[in-house]
Amino acid sequence: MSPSLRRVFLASLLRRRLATALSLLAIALGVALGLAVQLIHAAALDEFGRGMRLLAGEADLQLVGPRDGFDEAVFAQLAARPEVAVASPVLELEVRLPGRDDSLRILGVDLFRVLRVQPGLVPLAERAGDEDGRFAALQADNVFLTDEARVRLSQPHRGMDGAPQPPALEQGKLRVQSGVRGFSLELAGRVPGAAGVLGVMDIAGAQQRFGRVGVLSRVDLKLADGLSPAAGIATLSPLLPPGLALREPEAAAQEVGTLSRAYRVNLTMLAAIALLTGGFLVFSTQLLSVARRRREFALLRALGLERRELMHGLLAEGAAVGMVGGVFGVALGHALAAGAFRLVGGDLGAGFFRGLAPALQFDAGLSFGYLLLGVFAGVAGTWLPARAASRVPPARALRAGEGERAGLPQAQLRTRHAVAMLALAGVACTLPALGGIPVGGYAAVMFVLGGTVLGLPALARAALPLLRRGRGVTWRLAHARLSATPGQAVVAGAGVIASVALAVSMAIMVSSFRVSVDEWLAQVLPADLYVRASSSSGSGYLDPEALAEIAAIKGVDKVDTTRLVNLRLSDEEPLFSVLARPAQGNWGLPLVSGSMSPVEHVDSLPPIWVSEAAADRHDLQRGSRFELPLGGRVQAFAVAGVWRDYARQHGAALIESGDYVRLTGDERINDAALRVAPGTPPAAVAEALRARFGAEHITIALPGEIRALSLEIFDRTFLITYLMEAVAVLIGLFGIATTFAALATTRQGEFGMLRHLGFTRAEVGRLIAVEGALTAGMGVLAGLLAGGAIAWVLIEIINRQSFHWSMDVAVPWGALALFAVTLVVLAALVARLAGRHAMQRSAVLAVKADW
Amino acid sequence: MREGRISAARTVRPSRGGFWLRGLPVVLLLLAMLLGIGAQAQDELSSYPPVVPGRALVFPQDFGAHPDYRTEWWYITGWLRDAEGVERGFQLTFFRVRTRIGEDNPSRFAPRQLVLAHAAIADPATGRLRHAERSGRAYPGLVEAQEGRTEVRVDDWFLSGGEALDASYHSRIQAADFGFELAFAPDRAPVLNGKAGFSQKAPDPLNSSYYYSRPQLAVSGTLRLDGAEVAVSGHAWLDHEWSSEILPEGARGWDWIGINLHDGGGLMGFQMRDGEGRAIWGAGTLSDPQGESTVLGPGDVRFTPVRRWRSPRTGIEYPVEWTLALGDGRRFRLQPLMDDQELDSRASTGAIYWEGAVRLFALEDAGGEASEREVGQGYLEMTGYAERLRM
Amino acid sequence: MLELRHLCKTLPGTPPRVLFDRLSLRVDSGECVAIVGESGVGKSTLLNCIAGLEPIDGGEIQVGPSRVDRLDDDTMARLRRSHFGFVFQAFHILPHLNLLQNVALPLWLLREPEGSAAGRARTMLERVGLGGRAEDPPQQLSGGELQRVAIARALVHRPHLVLADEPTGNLDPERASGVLDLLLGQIRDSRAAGVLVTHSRTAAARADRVLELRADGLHDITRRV
Repeated sequence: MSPSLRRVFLASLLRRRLATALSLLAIALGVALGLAVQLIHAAALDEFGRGMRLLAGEADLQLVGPRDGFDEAVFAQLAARPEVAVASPVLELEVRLPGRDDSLRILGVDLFRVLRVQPGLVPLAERAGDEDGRFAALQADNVFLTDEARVRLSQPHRGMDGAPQPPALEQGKLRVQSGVRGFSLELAGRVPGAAGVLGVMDIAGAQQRFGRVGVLSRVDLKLADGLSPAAGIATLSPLLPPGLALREPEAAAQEVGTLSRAYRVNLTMLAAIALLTGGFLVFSTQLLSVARRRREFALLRALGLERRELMHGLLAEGAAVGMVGGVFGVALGHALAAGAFRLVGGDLGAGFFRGLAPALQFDAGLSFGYLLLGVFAGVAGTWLPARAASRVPPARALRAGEGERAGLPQAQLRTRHAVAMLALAGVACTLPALGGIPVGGYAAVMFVLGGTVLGLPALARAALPLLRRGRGVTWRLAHARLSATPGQAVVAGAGVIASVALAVSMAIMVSSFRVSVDEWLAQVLPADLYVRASSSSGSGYLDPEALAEIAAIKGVDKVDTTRLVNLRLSDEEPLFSVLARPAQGNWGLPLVSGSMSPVEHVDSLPPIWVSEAAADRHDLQRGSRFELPLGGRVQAFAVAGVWRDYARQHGAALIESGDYVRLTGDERINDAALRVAPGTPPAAVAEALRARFGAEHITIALPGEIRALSLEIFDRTFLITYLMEAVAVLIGLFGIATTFAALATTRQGEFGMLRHLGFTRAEVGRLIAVEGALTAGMGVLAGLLAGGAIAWVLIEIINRQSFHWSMDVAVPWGALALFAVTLVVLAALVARLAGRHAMQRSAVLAVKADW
Repeated sequence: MREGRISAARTVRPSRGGFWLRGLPVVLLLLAMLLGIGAQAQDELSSYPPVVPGRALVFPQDFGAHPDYRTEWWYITGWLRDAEGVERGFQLTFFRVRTRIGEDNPSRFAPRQLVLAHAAIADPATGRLRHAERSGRAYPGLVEAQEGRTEVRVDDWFLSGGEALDASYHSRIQAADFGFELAFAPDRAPVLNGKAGFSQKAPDPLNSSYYYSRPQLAVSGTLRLDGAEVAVSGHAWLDHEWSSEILPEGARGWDWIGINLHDGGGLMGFQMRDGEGRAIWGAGTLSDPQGESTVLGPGDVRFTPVRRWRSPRTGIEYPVEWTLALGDGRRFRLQPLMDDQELDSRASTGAIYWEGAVRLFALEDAGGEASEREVGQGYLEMTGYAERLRM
Repeated sequence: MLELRHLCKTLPGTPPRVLFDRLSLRVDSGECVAIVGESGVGKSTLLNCIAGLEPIDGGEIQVGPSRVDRLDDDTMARLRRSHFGFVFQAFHILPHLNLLQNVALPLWLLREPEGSAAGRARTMLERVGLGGRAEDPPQQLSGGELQRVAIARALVHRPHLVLADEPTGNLDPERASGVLDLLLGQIRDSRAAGVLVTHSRTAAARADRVLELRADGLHDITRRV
């Protein structure tokens, strides 16, 4: 671009600093949010992958299966194969630490085999110099800890209820729990090659001490020379019992990535909406700026500026705003990601990467991509105004009196287009998910937004006559202005629509979700008291003896149990939960279809009740046949019903305890639900339980506590969403501010005239505020409508397809009303503030200045 | 981690890591650091069966493992010759160790028994030893030392045979830069060392083992060096020894030979050295082609160093040539296939010793003129020459 | 109706410029006074001082019974809306209001009921010859027509004082003459006092009195034009 053009165009950005700064900020925020989500996820995934790689060492393949392990027979079978150079068995335990609610991951390993496959897991005896130390690595009671684990376990832990919990590691002894029994392991040394909070012990000791004899959770394989992992999988997979699979260690990170993908895409889409709002804002400011400079451009054109040059110059303005905003956004995104790591962890509070401490890394490609997005938003926002400006015949724009019109961009937006977009949104809703991503749903959201923006003039035309009742002159003036120029409403309100729609839809969705979760919790937790030794796949559990003791406690009327195991159905479905519990009893099952009674005549298969996610993925309904790899073989079940499950988006199924024990021989129990005899206070039973098993060995929860805790976790998960909503609303208000700042500048003559006619300053201010409120009101109204539509899309399409959750719509009317009113008031304030500058100019000068 | 293993090894002193003669370097340095066969084990000595004289060795039962005893090994050394006449030495050892860890543990992974294997090739063309090792805890089908016949394996490395008194053995070893698959055919009954298989290792009879040898095993099979596989044949010597005992304090190292004599007989001899390098005990067995043996007592085997060689890698000096005097006045000279048969496994087990193929020459005074005649080929093992185990 | 007594106004700056020094003027109801003078002599400033939109440094301004120079901003604004009418060079017709609404704007300000305001505005539009176009948006009007709307707006609420600053400055001579006739006629008809600032002697000649503003004060030049 020539220096003269630079002076004409880019310098213009500097002249309207406020508007430029706000557009820039909006783009920066959009870019930052999107980039931060990506960065955080990439870092978390990277850290997870690195951790996996480190632990997998030189393994070419990993044998994986149910989280709770599988029969070790397959290990000997694989190890003896000529394709396998070394097979290293691993028993992974989520060891409960009595009295603490965190756990320690302990890997039971065969020292002789980790030496050859996973050098990162080789334990180093600390007291090597003394005779006892030499036995260290094979002694059943010895545990080796990473430095991080040692530090963490030596310190008191802050429990979920905020109360301090004792250190697990004291004087070289680590207190752990198996079943409901606590015992000590000796700290024998370090695991210098591993990172993270991790312990290593002898595999035989681990099997014995934690009651897992005969069970492995993983086998890492080093293949014979010259055999590729793919060939290894092809040759060895047929040997595997059902439910087990071979995968390359790298695939673990992919699997976690798959599990968290829907959540991640959701966040990215939120960021995209923020960026879109930024683009709208650029559109608003550029449209106004272009309108204001019509005479300037006309003059330039008359002086010989080519139409194309004008267009390019204006686009360069937008690109510059986008570029600078993008650069700020990239920096801010990194800062946000760094902050998020510290505050909520690498999974943005969603729990996919628990316990990871990822490090933020600069990703040049990603950053550049987001920078480009910023530039794109700037250019796209400028496109229409630039095109319009370049097409104005110079002679007309130079005519006197044009100044009046300059402040009133006549955006030619057709209702027809709005209707078409809304129709497209409807069509998009009918599309199925693509690779687990509800592409159609997201497209529908975009179409609804676009359609609403385009339809705003029509909406304004329809809604404004209803508001004509006002008597005051300011109201009349504001009303008349908005009625005459609904295009202005679009310009100022586009950002508001996007942000309000986003906020409203999220509010409705989250509220529906929360209400549904609350009801769901009430349904699934009907008992008086719940006893648990540790969460699923943890080392704490209840065995039949413990259950018998529980049942014998005075005041316990009835004990029902749950066993939760996590299976691996396929590479696409690496995680599937099976709950074994009595179908009828103290556990509620929130059925959405089918019934509690088994289906008759389906080959006399045992009954199964599947979660919505499982039903969606496998296309199941009552009467369907569903197979699960249980106890090393494939077992078919007959689906009796479908239930709602908010706890496991990956899919879950419930089978009868009796069937489970018969199929697997696994008699361990995760949770027991207790019905207390009438007249006995649950607290007394809880006290008796604690006295019997030791308070530190079991967790006793009342349904109310579980609900409170669950909802707290729920709210934390949506924290990031609230943050994004706030940002989007902020950007929308920026839109109002910039529009009105720009409008106020162009309307100085009008304000000056009004002052001459006898308007007081306050009245002029009120006029601007009322206009702001009316404009925002239109935007908010449209945003509410769009938000409602989007909420429906979120609930019925996006959530359903991403997470397979159905929920009951619950609109938070009060909160929405408050929000809408607040926003309108804020918009009035913001407009008033933005117009202050224009108002304060001398009325005398204002009527003089023509342009 | 490797460093971990090395630093663990640093603390192991051969004089205390109780073991006897053969295989002490490997077992002591490879195992002891992992298992700590040390003072603590000594306290539990009573729980290992004692080695006592008068227990008759019964074959093929005693070809197999004796898992109650603390340690046991099958140790094959020998010479191979390929079609072009190139001669190379080889060595193959399987150790079994009872750890007394996890004996009450129902887990199949319980490390009650460990099996370790070690193999080496002495190839003059290479100029030094190629060696490799495997180790593991006993696990059915994968890592085993079975009773009743010779059946020891660590994953894909195995030695099996000895189903009958005259049954052959078969072994396969695959390492990165070498491998072999060999058959070993005996032509006579086992030769019992010491008092009918009760072999005393020190002045105190407490330090003893059950010990038999199988000299003159006919070897045939294939040898792989790097990528090239050649057919080989030759002769080998097998020792099988088991015990629970610990060496006395003060023993620093030992020298051992197992020689297949060209006349069809066999000669085994060893001496135990103290800190000053003096012999504190020695013994041997001389057998004829029919397997009839003569027991050599402490005074009957005398080793005298002739020529020393200094390792360029470790700086350790080994007496690679010896004269050996037997009680009956016969004198021999031991000459290595090559000087550098030092086993420097600092990178893995941390042990450094010398174990290599040697020729045995008879020294004869024919009319005042000293003359030499090669009378046998076998293996020499020398330990305890490192100034100290520093690494 | 309007009386200026010893009006003083100094423009800030270095050195400060004395614009008016003890300037006096009296305009009666039904009288139209034209003020001419060279550019920059302070004609418009004088109008603005009269409208209370610019502070004065001394003297008195009386409009009817009110001492303009003593009123605060808001009171002055209320005085303007009831007693003043303005005509601007740049018309300042609001583009988003139709002609009727533009004209009715002062009546809205005075809280006149919708119906009567519309009636009066319509009457006023008829008086300026635009009766048939009351509902039209201003975009379709020529400059002369716009200024006629402005005149209707300036007089619709029967102000006592009409101030016009170069009302024909943006118009071609033919239209200017018609507009000026209309303005003066309407002022006289409504018995208001009119002050017209212009640099056009032709325009000024139609006023009852023509005063020339010079650095040393106002000089009656009625006869000379």
